[in-house]
Amino acid sequence: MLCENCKKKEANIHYTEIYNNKTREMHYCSICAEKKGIVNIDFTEKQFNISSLISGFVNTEKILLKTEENKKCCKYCGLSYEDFREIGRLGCSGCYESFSKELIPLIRRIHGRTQHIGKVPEYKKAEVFRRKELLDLKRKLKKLIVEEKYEDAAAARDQINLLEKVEK
Amino acid sequence: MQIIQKLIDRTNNSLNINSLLDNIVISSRIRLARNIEEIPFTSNSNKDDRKKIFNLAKDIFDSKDIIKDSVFIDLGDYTQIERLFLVERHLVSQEHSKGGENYGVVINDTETISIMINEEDHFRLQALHSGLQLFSSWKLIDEIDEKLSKEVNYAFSPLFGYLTACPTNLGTGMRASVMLHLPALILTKQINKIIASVSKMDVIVRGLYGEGSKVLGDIFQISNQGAFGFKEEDIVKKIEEIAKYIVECEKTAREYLLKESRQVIEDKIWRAYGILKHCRTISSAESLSLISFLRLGVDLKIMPKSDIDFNFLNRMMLLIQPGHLQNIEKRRLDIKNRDILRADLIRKMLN
Repeated sequence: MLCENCKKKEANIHYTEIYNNKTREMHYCSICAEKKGIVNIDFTEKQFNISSLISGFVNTEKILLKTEENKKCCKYCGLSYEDFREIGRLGCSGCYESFSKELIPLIRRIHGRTQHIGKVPEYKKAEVFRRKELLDLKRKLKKLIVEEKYEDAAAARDQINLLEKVEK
Repeated sequence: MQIIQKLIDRTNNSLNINSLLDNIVISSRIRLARNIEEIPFTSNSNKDDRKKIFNLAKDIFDSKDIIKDSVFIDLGDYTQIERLFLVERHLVSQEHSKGGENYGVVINDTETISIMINEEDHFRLQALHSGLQLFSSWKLIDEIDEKLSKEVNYAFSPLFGYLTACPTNLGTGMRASVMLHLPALILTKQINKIIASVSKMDVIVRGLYGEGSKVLGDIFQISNQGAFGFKEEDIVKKIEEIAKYIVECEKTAREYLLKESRQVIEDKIWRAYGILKHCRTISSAESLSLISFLRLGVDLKIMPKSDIDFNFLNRMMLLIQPGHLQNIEKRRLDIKNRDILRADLIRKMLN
């Protein structure tokens, strides 16, 4: 089957949309799907594929040097990523947000984990709870899609949208 | 400073070190790294930022009842010798003791709690107990952390947990450590095997004063490497289990020594006693390694003298250190004079 958008490449993303009780199936190639913003069918935490993970272990340093990411600065305190690599200390708590792309693989390499599960300060408890609920819903949504229970999936999606609105 | 004198007096009088479990585990410690939202980390902060943190901490600890019977210390008011004393008590880290303006520490009467202000992280909360009591230390510091979190907004992300200056401390911000006395594992040459086997379990082995310090007096510090993606209680449990395992190894090695080479080990212990009792000048490294033999002698019941027990030896281990010696003398001493005074002090204690 060819991609219904570009009609050139093989379609490898098959997408079912339910909107206002109408079901529509779509078939795109990965490039067009990304353009349409529907690549992220897998709603659970962003998936890293194994090969990039392994090369990440070995090549992170080289990749970072190749790209211009070293020049990137924290939007809160101004510390550059290069400075961080030199001194091994971040500049402020905002650095974790500014450099999240670079730090996530690094943290994974140091700790082998990606999610904090320890204690939470009082004033953050509501946020953490909402986040967990969101993750659970996304997991549920994925399962419903696999089981082809599209109506239930649509309901879960609406709930997710609602929760995400609160977040913003 | 008054506080230093109080701490010295405490050492001379009671200091109820080591009543629990074996004397192989000298102490248990939990520390938590915490930062305040929207203020740069210490290494990247300016004078005003540090002042802000310092004053915030002073306000909280002075006005609120967060730690019973505690004092807020401005390290700026303390001399180098006094700071060294606090390092030797494990109340302040070596790094922190070198700080300039706006570096502080809160300590309580029983020396079980210390909160360093403007260390690598804004707050470094620590609980320290004698013997193997990691869970007590965790409970104590958790309680203080809870109280403190109601006064300030900690830098925290639902994904990363508590945000710290160094990504290796990220997550729970916790380090659980135990101090172990392992002379028999050294004598039987088993220590490297043990270190290699526990290192595989994400555990760090260090010397007496933590990061980068040498092994003195056969004392090792064992702590967790990572603290991200785990529950605090699980980290505590893991370190406690590993400590218990090493204690068992040390006990086996001690039994083996007694059985296989009683004369050799007795000779070593009595020689150590002889040197300590009669020396006229001695370094702290040498005295710590000799005291280590006395500890072993007490445990193996080779030292029959009833007045030499673990309490006595723990006290001696503290008093002979450079910071303690100079604070007792109330003056700066060069190495030569320190070694002479140390020998005097030890002889006085043993006679």
